[in-house]
Amino acid sequence: MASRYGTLRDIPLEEEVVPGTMLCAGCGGALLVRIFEKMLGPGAITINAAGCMSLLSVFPYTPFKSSWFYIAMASAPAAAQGVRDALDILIDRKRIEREDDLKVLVLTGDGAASGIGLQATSGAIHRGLDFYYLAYDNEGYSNTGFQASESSPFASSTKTTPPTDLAEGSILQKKDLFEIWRAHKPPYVATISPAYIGDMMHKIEKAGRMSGPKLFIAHSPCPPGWGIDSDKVIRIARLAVETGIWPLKEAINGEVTHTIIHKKRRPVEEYLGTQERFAHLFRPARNERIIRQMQQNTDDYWNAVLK
Amino acid sequence: MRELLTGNGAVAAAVRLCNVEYIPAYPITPQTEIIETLSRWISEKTMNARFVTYDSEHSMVTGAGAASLTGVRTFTATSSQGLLYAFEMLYNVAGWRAPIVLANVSRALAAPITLEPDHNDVLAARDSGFVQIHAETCQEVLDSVIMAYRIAEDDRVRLPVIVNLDGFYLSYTREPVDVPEGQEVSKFLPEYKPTFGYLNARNPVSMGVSVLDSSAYSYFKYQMHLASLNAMGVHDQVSAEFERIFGRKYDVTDEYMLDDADYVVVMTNSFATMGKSAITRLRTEGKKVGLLRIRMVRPFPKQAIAKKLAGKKGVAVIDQNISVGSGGILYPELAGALYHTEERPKVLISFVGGLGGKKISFSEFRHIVSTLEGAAREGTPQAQSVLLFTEDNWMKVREMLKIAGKGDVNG
Amino acid sequence: MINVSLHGRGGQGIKTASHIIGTAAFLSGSYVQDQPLYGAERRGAPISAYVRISRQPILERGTIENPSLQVISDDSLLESAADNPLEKIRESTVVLINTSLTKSDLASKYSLKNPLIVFDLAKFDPEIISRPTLGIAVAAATCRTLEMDFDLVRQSMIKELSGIHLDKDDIAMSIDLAKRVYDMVTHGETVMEVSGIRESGIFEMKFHNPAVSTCSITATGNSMLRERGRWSGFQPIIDYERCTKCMICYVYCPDSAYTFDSKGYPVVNYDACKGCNICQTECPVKVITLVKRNKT
Repeated sequence: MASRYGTLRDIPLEEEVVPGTMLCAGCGGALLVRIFEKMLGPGAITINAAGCMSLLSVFPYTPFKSSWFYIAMASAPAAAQGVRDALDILIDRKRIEREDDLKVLVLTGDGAASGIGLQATSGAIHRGLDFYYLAYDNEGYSNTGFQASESSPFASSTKTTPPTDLAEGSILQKKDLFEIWRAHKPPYVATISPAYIGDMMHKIEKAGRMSGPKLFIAHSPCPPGWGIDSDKVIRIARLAVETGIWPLKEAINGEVTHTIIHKKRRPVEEYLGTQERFAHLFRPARNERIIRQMQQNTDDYWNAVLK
Repeated sequence: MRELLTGNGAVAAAVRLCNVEYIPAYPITPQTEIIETLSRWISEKTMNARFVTYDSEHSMVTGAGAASLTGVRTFTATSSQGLLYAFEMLYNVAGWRAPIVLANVSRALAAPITLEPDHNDVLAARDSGFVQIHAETCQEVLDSVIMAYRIAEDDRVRLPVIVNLDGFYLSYTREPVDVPEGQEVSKFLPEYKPTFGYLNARNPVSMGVSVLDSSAYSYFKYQMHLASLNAMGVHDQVSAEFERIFGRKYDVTDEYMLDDADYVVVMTNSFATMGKSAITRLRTEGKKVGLLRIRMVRPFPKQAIAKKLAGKKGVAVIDQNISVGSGGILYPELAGALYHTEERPKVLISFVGGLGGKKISFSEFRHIVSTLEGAAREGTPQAQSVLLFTEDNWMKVREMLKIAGKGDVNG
Repeated sequence: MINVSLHGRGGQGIKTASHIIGTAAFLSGSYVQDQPLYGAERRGAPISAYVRISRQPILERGTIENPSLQVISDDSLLESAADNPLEKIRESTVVLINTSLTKSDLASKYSLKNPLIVFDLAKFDPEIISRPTLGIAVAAATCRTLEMDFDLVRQSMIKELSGIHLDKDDIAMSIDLAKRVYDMVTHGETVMEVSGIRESGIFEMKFHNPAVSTCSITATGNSMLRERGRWSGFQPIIDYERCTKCMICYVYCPDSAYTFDSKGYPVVNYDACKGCNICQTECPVKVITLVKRNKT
């Protein structure tokens, strides 16, 4: 089916999230939420697990034009289930009109998505719940000041994985949430990036034609957590794709396709070098072993994809 | 229609009579029979509701609150560890002012894990904002669930309600129950039409918003308290109407041989039946004793309790729970209710019993009354809670300790 | 007791400033409490920190409502209606502020009758207001105003800055900056204890309908009432002569701060712009420049 979003200029102009939030200047997650809500349009409910974005609305102010619901960190997908089921019941029994229906969006950070909320998410996907899930993956517990989450990348430093002589930041690998979600065989799961808004719009549009779980994991640069200048957020997100660290892909009923492929990938250190959380890999001395290992991990991934 | 129903069966029957539309579920002993019954009725199309098994009680209570706010009448049930697993969400659902009804089938808490009832589970939720009604009989279970929706959905309250019934002693025990006609119940309980907070495209709202201003937080929290206090008056109104239609009457407290009693035993839930039996027997022995059962535990009916206990010589509170490091949970609440009454009882003694469902024997009740008499005479009641635990009980434990390899332990 | 209330923005090192002042006072033998006020506010957002200094044990907790000294790190804070630190001063509170305005201009602009001390950090570094070193400069100015010996400031800085893992060279440079600020601030106002008692009777709260008393917001999209545009000292200016209307600035704005005029040119809503400068960096034809806010 042809896309309504041929170029960036086709972006919906109506803002569903108005200015005045408490989020940091240059928040990658804020941009993702803005674009995602534009694509859903009015008549959506955002069910927001505790995290940075749950401070979008703080009494008595809300930036959302449509409905929003703050839920505990572990159970946003369960609230989505309750709302979706109740709307279906009310429509079935003609107690509300079809126009009163809401698109249900679960919005969580990577901490909730990969850790404390994974069980509730697995349950909702398993039940075939008709909902969108946007996980803004800023690779740490940003809302509490950036501690390591299960989504923090290998060798990145956080407040709870400081770089010391013993370990290069976190010694654990980033949890592969895409594959965990994909294993449930949902109709749609994709990765997106704020630097590739066109790709993102196509994916949301495509998912919108499907019923059931429609899941998105968004690379979400975090200026204070990653130690980057706020104006570099898009550049760094773009570098993540160009170096192959953040593959843009989708899986329809479990079948994976990569949507953006850079045949000539930039070296990963171009991405790593832009961020304070990887600074210990370059200063005081260059840590060749770790940098090479990270390059190798990325190459291995893409060699398997492209073979 | 009068039929033999278990406590769990009575809950299920009431839920169907209330035209509940949505049932988030998660199994746990001894509650499971409730959701099994409801799901069977739904699949047989003798009940029109949607039943969804969630991934946990935490999710289940989240989903229940969210559906209720969206505008459907919602019921859920749990027990013990399940209630505790959902604990965070109990406070949330109450704060959202979502009028769900939750049946809690009491079961003592781990560790050590066990199956039979005491009330540490439901009383852990006492500060959450849920209204709590604790039932003594299967009939009262059924009637309380029906009344609970009226109270929960009343705009003077708009708080969720827990109806509590004891595991095993009620949950699996059949006794005769009058099951009202659906039409009669519909007259008593009209369709649920929330007046605010409902979630749909026509009514955009931000719900569950964080509050970082401490004055605003104080306001919202205290409003819940005022709403809960309203539940006593609303209960009395609802109860009067219930009596008119169904012929059965419930107050926030229940009493037995209380009027002329000098000594009173205070209890809750199904063990009160054993209390009543002991009272009857002690009366034949010439003891002027009576029983007060607290049916509404939240809001705590301080004035009603103070009025009932005014002028008594001695009162024993049997807490079927234990606040480790303090003693019985309800005892200090009673003391608070009585402190400023003119004719407050001369002695107020705390007993802890029925833990893990251990029965309270007649000798234990007799011990309670003689303790009360002695303390009233000498005016020196014991400062700490007294454990209701017999020599027979100890001999049994001692034997088990020996088998478990702990040696021969002296009492 | 002397109550020092510090006001700045997330990322300016205000917490560090409160610690430097607190430690300096502690080293001088005083009783001290210092505390940053953590909220949900983020980098660039107005934040505050407190220091209490006393010769006697301190019988106080929490936020300061009766500042002896109100320290303002960035005069753009005075433009904010919601979080204006001048709203929180008492009659005899001394106001110490980093600004390029003169004392009399400041007093007349904000109808201020309080004792004022001004200092202008832009002299050292025009972009200091977006750097964490600002806190160090503010701490030095505050210690000077409180008549603390610079040697105490130096000792305090060594302790606090090594605590946040600054290396020796950075600490030496910071001390150098602090000394220059310390010497620049002209002292002349005495900072005194200000009474904290404000009478207000007990309100008897009645039950309200849950439609009112449930924490929800039905005035959806009302955050527009809350301007965040003063978060940054800089704002983007578009050269419309060269703008190609490509919409990149609009697309990448995280704060919905861009709209379009009738001819399709992008327009910045400066009340909404937090100054992240993504638009400037991403503009393919480089027609966006950043300008210091109070000069526009």
